[in-house]
Amino acid sequence: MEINDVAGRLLLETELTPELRQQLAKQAQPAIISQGKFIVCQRCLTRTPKLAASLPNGQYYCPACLLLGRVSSANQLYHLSEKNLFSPLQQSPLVWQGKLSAFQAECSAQLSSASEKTGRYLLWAVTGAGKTEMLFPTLEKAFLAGKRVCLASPRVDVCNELYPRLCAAFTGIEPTLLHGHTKQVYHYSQLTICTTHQLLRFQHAFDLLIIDEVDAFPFRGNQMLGQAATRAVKPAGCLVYLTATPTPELLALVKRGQLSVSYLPLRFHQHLLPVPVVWLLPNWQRDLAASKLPLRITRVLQKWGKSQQPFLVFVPSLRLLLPVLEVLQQLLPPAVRGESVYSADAQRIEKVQALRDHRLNYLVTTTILERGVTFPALNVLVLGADHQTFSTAALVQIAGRVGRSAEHPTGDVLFICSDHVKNVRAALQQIQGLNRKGEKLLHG
Amino acid sequence: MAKCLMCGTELVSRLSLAWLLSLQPLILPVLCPQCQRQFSPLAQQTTCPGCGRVQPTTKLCQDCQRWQKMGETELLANQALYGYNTAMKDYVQRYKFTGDYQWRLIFQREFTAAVQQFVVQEWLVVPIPVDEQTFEVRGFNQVLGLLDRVSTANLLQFKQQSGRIKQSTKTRKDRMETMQPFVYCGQQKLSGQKILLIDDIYTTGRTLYHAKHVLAKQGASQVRSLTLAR
Repeated sequence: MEINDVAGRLLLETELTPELRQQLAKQAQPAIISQGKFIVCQRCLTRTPKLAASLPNGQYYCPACLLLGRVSSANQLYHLSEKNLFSPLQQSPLVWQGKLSAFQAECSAQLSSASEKTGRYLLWAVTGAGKTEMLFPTLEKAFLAGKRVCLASPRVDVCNELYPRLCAAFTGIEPTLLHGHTKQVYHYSQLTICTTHQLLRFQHAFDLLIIDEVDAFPFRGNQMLGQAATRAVKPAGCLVYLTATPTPELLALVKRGQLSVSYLPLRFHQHLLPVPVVWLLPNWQRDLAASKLPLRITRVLQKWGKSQQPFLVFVPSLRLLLPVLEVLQQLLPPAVRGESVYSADAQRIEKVQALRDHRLNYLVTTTILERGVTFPALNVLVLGADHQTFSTAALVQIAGRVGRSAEHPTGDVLFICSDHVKNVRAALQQIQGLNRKGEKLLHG
Repeated sequence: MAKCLMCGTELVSRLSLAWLLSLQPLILPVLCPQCQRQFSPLAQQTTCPGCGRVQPTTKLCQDCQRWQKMGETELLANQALYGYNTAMKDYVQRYKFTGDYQWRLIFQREFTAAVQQFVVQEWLVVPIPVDEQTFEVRGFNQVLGLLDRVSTANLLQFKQQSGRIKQSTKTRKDRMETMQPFVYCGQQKLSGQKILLIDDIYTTGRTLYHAKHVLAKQGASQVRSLTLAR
């Protein structure tokens, strides 16, 4: 560990080597501050009642950010200000050979000029718009200017997918990948790719912080992570939000003029978004209890099975995974193979890869696969789309899994409902609205 | 609204007429049913009479027979509340090693109730201690955290020695070869006192038997143990 590894960070003494601890002794500050009946953790800025935070030996600890290693009042936090001590780049580090479409290029240019300014910015681009590629020119410019950049996402899968893509697109940058499951050791780099939880270990570090899938759990509505993101950016830096489905809160900020936005309603292959078809089949759950599915669904599934194209079946709760999988195995010929996945599934990554490699034909899944995954030529069925676990954003994201490749720009999205609900209606309206805007963009 | 201590989902508790008429205090759950189900309670299971582990018969298990061969005439007759499965392992990791003191509430009511049954029969409750250094860092004794308003007697303490290696980091063989770590620190002899040792996990039994020897030497008439997990 070197002294640069502390630059822009906020670390506990247990996360430093003894030599560094001695060297930085003057920078140490208390990790927990007492405020009346509350304590305030200086790492995650969460206020906790003393009653819930006190330990029998008279100390206090913070229950909020415990999973990053416990902070107690016996601890101290170390911080060193970020001075951007990177060796200057002689030539452009961007080795990506691809080309942006005219619409992408325009959006990318807007982002690029916005990232020079202090403040916050929203890039709203539909699912499959090619958001990552649109970032490349902005990142290139930032690296050449010696800036420190972070790409964060609430979801580990997204980080794991971004890391190899950025390693391939840029040479000589050597990005750091940080999350709870990686074995990589932190190193001081111009580009950090991390989960939003890891931002708790940074303070005024980044000239540019980009948060991908900003409306996803656990970042959405989480005050602790929101504050951490704000603090991780330098006071004069820029915070960029990236999403296909902005939350009403973000849209309200846009409406009030407190957040500037660029907007791309068209996919990179310039086809419109697939519009979900809604079937009202109130008896699907009763049929499922009798180990079958309504005939209309059965016919569609058999058609998909025959076509050899992969498909996803979303269910609203964990306990429906197995019954649905069993029914599907009965309905489809044995050559059509499937599995179930959920968030705590140890083999989640392997199963998703198996679907990509055509070793599996379908997956029965919870909302865990609603975003961040791409399969070419996919079809999607949502059982119980009217269930409250499927938010409007989730439904738009699920529909957005379909038709993402230029070779297969269309596909089927089928929502099965027992009832008319707002979430489904709003999702349809949002997709149709985006398609209208996309069409306008295409045909003037 | 109350939330599950482990997964954070909202807890729905329904007040029933039966509860209202029973005149019993309202006991609110701390875990959601899904999280609760991951633990395996041993109350209705067939267990070894010596150490409390689950097995098909009520004969002594091999480990306990080995203790007998090593000269233990009276076994600890350990009572454990839960089996040591993945969920319990994760629980101990979070509560004890990460140090989430709030998680004591997950088993506090149950553990306290089990200990109370001994207290009313005039057993003296003796917790296995935590050494000073660990107490400074962790901030609490994990066994005492599981008790709510039960008086205990701190009769044991660690011998003064530097560089003690924690039991949890050792292999079975290393554990079994551990030397007596405790000394008696009570004021007087324990003439004829029944003693209940309490600890979080019974793994090999080494620690608990060491503690038993110290207390038996001071004149305890009977020494049993109670642990959260086996």
